This record gives sequence, structure tokens and C-alpha cells, in this order.
Amino acid sequence: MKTIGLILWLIIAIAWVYLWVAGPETDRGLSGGIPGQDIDHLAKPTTSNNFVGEALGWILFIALLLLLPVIAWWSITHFT
Amino acid sequence: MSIFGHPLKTADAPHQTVSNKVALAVFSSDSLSSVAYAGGEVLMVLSLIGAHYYWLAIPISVAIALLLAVLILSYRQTINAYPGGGGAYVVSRDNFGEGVAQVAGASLLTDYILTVAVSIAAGVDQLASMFPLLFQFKVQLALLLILFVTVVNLRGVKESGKAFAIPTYFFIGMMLLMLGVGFFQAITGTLGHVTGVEALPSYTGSVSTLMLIWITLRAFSTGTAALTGVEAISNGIPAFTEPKPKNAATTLMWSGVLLMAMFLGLAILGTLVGAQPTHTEVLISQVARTVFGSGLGQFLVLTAAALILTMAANTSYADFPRLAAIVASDRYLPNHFSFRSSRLVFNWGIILLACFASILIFVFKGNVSNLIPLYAIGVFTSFTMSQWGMVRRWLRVGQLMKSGKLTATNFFPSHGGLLTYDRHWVWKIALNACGGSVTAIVAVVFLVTKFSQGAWLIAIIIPALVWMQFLIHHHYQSVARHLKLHRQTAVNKYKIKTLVLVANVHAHTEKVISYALSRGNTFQTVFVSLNPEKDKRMLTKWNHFRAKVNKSQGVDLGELLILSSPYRSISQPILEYMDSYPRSVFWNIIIGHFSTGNWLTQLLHQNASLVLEGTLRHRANVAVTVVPMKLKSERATKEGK
Repeated sequence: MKTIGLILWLIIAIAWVYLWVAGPETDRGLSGGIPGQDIDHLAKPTTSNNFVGEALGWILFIALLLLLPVIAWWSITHFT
Repeated sequence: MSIFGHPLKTADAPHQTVSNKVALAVFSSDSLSSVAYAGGEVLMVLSLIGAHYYWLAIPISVAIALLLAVLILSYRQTINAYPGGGGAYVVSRDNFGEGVAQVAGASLLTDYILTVAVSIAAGVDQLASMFPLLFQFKVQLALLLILFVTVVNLRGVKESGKAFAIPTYFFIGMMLLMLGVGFFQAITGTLGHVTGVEALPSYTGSVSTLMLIWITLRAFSTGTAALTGVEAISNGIPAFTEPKPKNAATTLMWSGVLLMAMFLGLAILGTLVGAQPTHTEVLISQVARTVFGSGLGQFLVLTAAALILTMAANTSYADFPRLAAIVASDRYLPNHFSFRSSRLVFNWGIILLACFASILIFVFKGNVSNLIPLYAIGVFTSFTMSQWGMVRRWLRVGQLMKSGKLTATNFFPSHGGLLTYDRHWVWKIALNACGGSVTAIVAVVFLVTKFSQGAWLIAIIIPALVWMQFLIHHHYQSVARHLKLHRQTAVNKYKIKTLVLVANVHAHTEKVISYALSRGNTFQTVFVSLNPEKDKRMLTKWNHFRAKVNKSQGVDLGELLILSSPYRSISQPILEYMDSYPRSVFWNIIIGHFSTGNWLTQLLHQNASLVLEGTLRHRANVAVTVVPMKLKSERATKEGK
């Protein structure tokens, strides 16, 4: 078991060395802002292409919200 | 191809987005996974006032669900107002300024690191409770899991989303099945009672009103750990497919609905089956065992919980690098955080997150109980700042609308957001103010109740991180001031003196001298004498070489300048020589560098050029030119390549 533990530590050490050598990719700097952070085009109104999903989400959300006082009232009257 | 995958073009960035279904798995696994432990933690706190009060878990869960609803509605507004992502950081930056925003940034970054450590440690705990043999390798397993999640994330958000979607949906499916069957049994009167649990000893004395209020508040703040992932979607909007804000808002709504249903359902079912606070069996296991019996059903629920707890770390991997990139683009973190890798991910953020989370796992030996008290304060601080930031934003919108500047047909860009016409702005102020007040209270209660258990550490770390961010910003500002172009151009001609450094006379010296001659300027050849006994030999060699060049090319290379170095330093005599000239002189130092093409054999050489370059580059009036010489391998020489 001790050997297994040591092998696992060795794998972790090698993996970290590899990660620090290969992971940073120092020649891949990208100047001039972060792609995806440009938001001006989002000022235009957009329509959802997932109307059913959004509507269903709202229905369930409101239903759960309406259930909250019912659950609170039930727990107080049931357990006291 | 590396293990990170083939490189992607910058133009591919818009395609590296995820659908709502995958996004729900990526950004909600953190919040959904908290269902697996938050309810049990609430029961633990309630045991301080006795088993008679366990039913309070239901109204407490209702209150938490209500707070969740407020946060969902509020963050939907944040998503629409700040469609570029960034969540609480961007909201605070726009409404309170960059300085205050650093508190939100530092709080969130700290919490993302803790999320990785806590979720991975909790996942390993679950695995170890299923397979006790693994318990002794808990720390190693946790560190290996962090490495696994890190590598998958370095392959890109799309890849990690696909890989981690299955465990999330498996957990949702198993939870809904368990709750459905459980409630059906409750309605039909066939629901059993928890048996065979070694419950923690609970308080049996009398409970004062003050104690009841205090413990209820503490249980409430403990349960709010379930809300820690709500922020995630508003941070990662750029990862969604178009229309990004709409899709992000819809996903947030679904995430909230699922969390609310599962959290409430488990609290009610747990109370109905008489679940007990215990260190030997988690709440979810007690409920699953009572509903399905000790068999496959319970095993599947626990497997799903273990998987999602491990994968919950992925939410932080999606958000930490993005947030760090935004903070870095404001120059409050090193620039590296805003660089994108070959797979278009913020690789520095991913690696640093893994590094800090691993340190936490190692230091705390993967113990969840020790890590939990550090958790959630950061998130609730950022929730509060985000909510009050939105209040300030609505006030700005209201003022602009009243003055007639903001109408239904125009908008005002703000720092990272948009000010758009909204006739419900007064109601929205009320909603955000309410949410901001509650989250502030929770943050304070959390800090007070958990202070002695380790929360004090966070009270030090977050301000220290903010201070470090200001130091970084100060440095970047100072660099910017230095780099600023003046009105009058400062382009001048320097008086340049060129030194060619030689260590011997051989084929590489020929190449270095050829380069110096090709530039067309005069130069002085310099030899640093480390051993006076060899000076005469070097001088003879140089004079012979000089005569040969003179004869064949008709060029005089000049005398060799020998700089003696009594302490055997290579750079010191050169620096002293340069200092003997006026400061207005600009120096060009030409050095040769052997390149063996193999890092192992490269170590067999002194690589003096690297040392000299490193020393000389700190001087303001020195330019170093390195002339490389690639050594051919024996095989290439034989083949005449």
C-alpha cells in the first residue's frame, strides 16, 4: 500500500512538471482585448430561439415560488 | 498532437461556445452538487437545539429557496445589463468604480479556488465511503482528480462541457427519481422511516428564544452554501451560443428551478423519513436507503452524488479563468491571465486555479470539514456588492429616464454594461435592495458563526489579495506612464560602441567576427581573462587569426583587448570597462552562443552567453546581440547535411 501511495505521488509530481512546462504556452499571448468581451453588438434586441424552454422555466419557477408559503404553512402546522 | 488537443485559430473563438444543455452542466454543477451536502449540514446545526427542532429544516429551506428566487431574478437582470459577463466584478466596477470592484473580484476568485478544493475533497470522501480502501490515498486521489479536470479544461470549454455533462444529468435524473418515488410513497402512506443510523447526540435541555433565533440563523447561513454557484452563469456569458444573454438567462432560470426543487424536496423528504445528523451517513444516503432500500437505487444515488461533487469543480474552471482574464485586462492581475492558449482557453487561469486548489488540498489534507468554514463568505460578499451595484445602476437608469435622455429607442454604454430603458426600474430597485440586504446579513452571520472555525483566514486572505491587486495595478500604471509618447518626439542618433566578446579562436569565432564585419561598423574584440597563464596563448592565436584575415580579406580586425578578471567573473570586467566611458555612449555587445539542439547536451556547456545577456539586459544603454551557432550532429556531418 505504501508503494502504491509513493507511485501516486510520483505520477502527481511528473504530471505537475509536464503541466508547468507545456501548459502555459508562453508564445501564445493575445493582445488587444479578450475575445467575447465585446458587447456593443448585444445592445440590439435579441429574440430567444428557445421559447418553449424559457416559458417552461418561468412556469416551473412561478409554480415553485407559489408553493413556498404553502410548504412553510404546512410544516409549521404539521410539526408544532 | 499534444494531450491538450490540436491548436485552434483565433477566428474559431465564436464556435467555442456551448448549448444551453451543456452550459447547464458546466455552470450549474457547483450549485446543484451542493444539494448533496447542504441539507445535512443544516441538520447538524439544528442538533444543537435538539431533535425536536429538526422540522425547522423545512421552513429554513423555504427561506433559502426564497433567497435563491430573489438571486435568480436579480442575476437575470445582471445578465441582461452586463452581457459581456463578469458578474459581480463587472457590476461593482461599473457602479462603484474599479477600486471597490477588486473586493468583489478577490472574493470570487478566492471562492472559486475553495470550490475546487471542497468539491474535489467531498467527491473523494463519497468515493472513499463507497470503497473504504481508497481512504488512505485521499490526498493523492484528490490531487490526481484536480490534474484530470485541469487537463480536460485545457482542451477547451466545449470538450470539458461534453465530458462533464453526463454526471450532472445523471445526478439530476437520480435525484428527481428519488424525490418522485419518495413523495409517491408519502402520499400513499408507504414511506418508511430511517433506521440503523448512529445519530449524533443532540441537545436535550431547554431552549431559550434567543438561542432558538441564533441557531436558526446559523442553520440558515449554513444552508445558504447551496447558493454559492448562482453567480457562475452571469460570469460566463461569453461561453454561450447566440443570443448569449437570452440563453444565459434561460439556463440560469432552469438551474434555479432544479436547485430549488431538489433542495426543498430533500429537506421535506428528509424530515418525513426522520433523517438524523450523523458523521457516518450523509442525508442523501439516508433518504435514498429509506426510499429505495439498501440496494441498487441507493448505490446509484450515491454514485451520482460522488460524481457531481467531483465535477462541481468544473464550474470554477469555467469561471475563474474568465474572471481573472477580465481583472487582468483592467491591469489588476498579471497580463498572462488574459492570454488564450492554442485551445482558446485562458490557460494561465486554469493552471493557477489547479495549483492553489492543490495547495489547499495538501495543507488541509483533503478534509472537507476544515475547508467548509472558509467557504461561502467570498460569494456572499460578491452577491451583496452585485445587488447594491444593481440598485445604483437602476438609480442611474431612473435619473436618465426622468431627464428624457434615455428612451425606449436608445441606450447608454457603461463600463462593461449597457444602460437601457426600463419602466420597471423602481420595482427592480426594491428587489435588488431586498436581495442585497439579505445576502449582507448572511455574509455577516456566516463570518461571525464560522470565525473561530477558520473564517478568520478568509478575512485575512481577501484583503491581502486586494492589496496585491492594487500593487500590480500600480506597477502597470507606472509602466504605462514610462511608455507614454511625449508631444516632442525623442528619436535621436546614439553614439554606438560595439564590443565583440570572444572566448577562444575557432569556427564559431569566425562566424561571430563575420557577423560583426557584415554590420559595417568598427568594433573592439574583447577577451575576458579568467586565467592569466592562458592570456599569452590566446593573444598568439588572435594575432595569427588577425593576420590570416588581413591577408585573405584585406581587413584589419584590430588588437585584442584583454580584460583581466581576478575574481573569475565573466560579466564584471565588461561592466567596469563600459563604466569607464561616458553614460551617453550606447553599447552593442555581440556574443556567440552554442546551440547543441538538445537540452541535455546543452547542459554540458557553460552557456555564458545566457549569463551575460541576463546581466547586461538590465542596463539602460546596452543592446545585446546573440550570434547563434547550431552544432551539427555527428550523423548530419557524415551525411553532409
